[in-house]
Amino acid sequence: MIVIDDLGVRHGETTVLAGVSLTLVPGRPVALVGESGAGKTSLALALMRLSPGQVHGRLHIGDEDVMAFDAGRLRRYRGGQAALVVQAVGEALNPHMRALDQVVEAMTCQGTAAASKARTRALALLAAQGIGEDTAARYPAGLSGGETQRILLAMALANDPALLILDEPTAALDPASRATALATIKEAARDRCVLFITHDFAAVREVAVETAVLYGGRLVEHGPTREVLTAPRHPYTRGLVRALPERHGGKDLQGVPGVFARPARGCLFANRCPQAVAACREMEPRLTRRACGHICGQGRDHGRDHVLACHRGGIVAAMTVRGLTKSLGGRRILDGLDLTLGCGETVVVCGQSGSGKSTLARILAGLETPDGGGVAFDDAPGRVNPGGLALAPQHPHTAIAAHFSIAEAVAEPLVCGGMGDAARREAQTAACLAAVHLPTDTAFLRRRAHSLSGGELQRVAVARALVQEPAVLVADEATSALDVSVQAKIVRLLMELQEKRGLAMLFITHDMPLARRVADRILVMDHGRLRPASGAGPAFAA
Amino acid sequence: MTGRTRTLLSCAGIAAAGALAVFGLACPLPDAPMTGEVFAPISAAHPLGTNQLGQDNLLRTLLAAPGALAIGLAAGTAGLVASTLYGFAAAMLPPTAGRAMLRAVDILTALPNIVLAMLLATCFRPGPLFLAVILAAITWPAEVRLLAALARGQMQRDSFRTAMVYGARPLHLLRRHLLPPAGPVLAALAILGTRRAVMHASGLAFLGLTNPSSPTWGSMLAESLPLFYEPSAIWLITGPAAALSLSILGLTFLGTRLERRHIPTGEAA
Repeated sequence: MIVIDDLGVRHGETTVLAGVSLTLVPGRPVALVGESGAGKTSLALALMRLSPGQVHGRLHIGDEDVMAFDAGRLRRYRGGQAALVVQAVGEALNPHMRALDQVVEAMTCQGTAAASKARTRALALLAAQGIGEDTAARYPAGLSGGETQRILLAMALANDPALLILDEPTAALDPASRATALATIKEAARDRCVLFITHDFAAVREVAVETAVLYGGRLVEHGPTREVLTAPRHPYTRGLVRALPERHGGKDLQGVPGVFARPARGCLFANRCPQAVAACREMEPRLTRRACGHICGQGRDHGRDHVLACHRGGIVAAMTVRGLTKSLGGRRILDGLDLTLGCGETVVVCGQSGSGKSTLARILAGLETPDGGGVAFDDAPGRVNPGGLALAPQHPHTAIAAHFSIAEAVAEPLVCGGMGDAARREAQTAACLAAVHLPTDTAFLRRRAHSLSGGELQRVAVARALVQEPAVLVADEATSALDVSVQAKIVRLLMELQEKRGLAMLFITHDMPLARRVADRILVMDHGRLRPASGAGPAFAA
Repeated sequence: MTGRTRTLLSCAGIAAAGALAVFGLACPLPDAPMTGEVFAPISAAHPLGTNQLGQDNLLRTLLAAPGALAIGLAAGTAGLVASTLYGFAAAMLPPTAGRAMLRAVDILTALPNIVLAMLLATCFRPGPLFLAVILAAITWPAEVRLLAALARGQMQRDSFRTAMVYGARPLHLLRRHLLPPAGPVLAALAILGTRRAVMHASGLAFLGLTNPSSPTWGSMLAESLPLFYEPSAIWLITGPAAALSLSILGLTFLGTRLERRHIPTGEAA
């Protein structure tokens, strides 16, 4: 068992790693993911005591303190007890030795096997990686990147180490070799500790039991792989998972907004976090097993071993609806409806006409009063992105007074809210109209709402919703009157806003292909309540 | 003719009448000279004959026109503004308060308002300005229910509710959401109010309940009554009676046409 406790690495003034605590247990491989420069390789090097920076903290293998090893013990530790498969494959092998000899040498210099036995074992290890004897006899210059990678893996396993650290072991491999390598890693992970550093989330899913997310040298989330990848709690992890190209039927590639910056204090992610509050900029969060304020897990409870570092307890609920009831004309439209909408989450609501979808939207927007139940918004003090709820209505021609000019219609929320001066309002109006691909010339701004086509008016309604810079957008068939080209642009705009500002969206639509494209979850309105769509499933599901 | 042109026309008519009234009040013509023949019959020189003082009847009738129209317009417009604001308030306030306000208006409309006006006029012998105030005060309750209903109709609309959600202030709601769609109706009501005020003002003047120093069609009619022993006194009546009837008739026609066009279905509202 490897215990890493409060490990930190500094290069001069720069803190590369801080407060990393992990426990590696045989049979429970841990995947370490995070953006480039997050400190993954630094951690790997620090575990091998190869780090060029100053390392502090505690590192124990079994009962022994690795930090206290002398040179001789360290030699036995490296290559014997702990093996690292490095990322920079080109320079990893000695160019003056045949590949096979290098694998043999790994064993002979540790004294784990006699030369003849070592040779047999090396060939077996290489054969398991699909490297034949003739390839093994080559010099590194004659090997491809993928072959080198596999030889390195064989070499790392040669001494049967207790700790195996793999830094991007599958990056240069073709699918067949990758499958072989992963199978080897899985096999090897059964009875030893494995730290698996990678960008390949499919490999993480296949190999790792636990996943830790590193950001700016801090662990921000750590938990069972399935939970971390399907129901990430930290906004950063979600951004990472959303950026995956292989998400089936999900949204277009989204990611994490902004770039990494190293602030003097506070949460490192605060500058990119859509739900940051003032406190996030003041204090650095600790990795804790705090109560689950999180909501994107489809109501599932998180295990006790799922920890994260976030002042807000992970992704917060931008809107919480509890027990909403509404009767219209003696018919019960909504019957104890519950809904939790996470910050930066898209929930698609579908269902038959007359099932109460629009009624729900209208209640949320404040146009109707519910008979019972309530709606709560994320109103933590000091939010960086405040903003209420905006409705992009189903019938823009009733929602926008016919005698209003376009400029007036879009700017009305600002005028009524008393926001900004006239010049600023004008600029915001123009920006929002441009964003929904409408003209912004004076002649168009002066046109009356009734003189616009259905599609144009719908876009004006979307612009009017966006001008409020909402935290929650309820889009009630908001793209139904648009041609597919414009619809594509507007949906993309909304997704972009979601990435940038953590816009939470309630998307009401009958268009199932569109729903599957944008949704994190698809819910069906059924007898006045929302239930997960059968078959459609959460687009996130692994 | 579309509703819009009709509204424009009526607005133009009101503007013309207003201009006439303002101009007439600002630069009053001298009273007709008392130099002509007494009780002269109609002739080229005196198209409507002369009165017992030798004044030209047509000239005197025309002299009274600006005052009559000014009082009518002022009273009609003031009454409409009052009833619009009251109706809007009644519609905006919580249902209980709104209902109480409308009940109060019901009581006011139940009063015989012309009698009330006569009572006030008897006490104060009002000049033109005060007369306009009295007339506005007795006529405004009549339109409140209609206007409150119109406001409520608008308030059911999504555009109005959305603006409420945006946090719009009452003035914004009134100015941008209620008045523009109600424009044609308000124009019609302004004309009808003006017509009624002209009629009431003349009635009070006829009864001698207004300040006699300014010439009015009502007082001119009243003055001619004792002179009926003289056959040509008929020409004394013709001028003011025709002017009064024509102006009331014209305003009525204009008003009812607008009203019929816009009020019954409310689809334009």
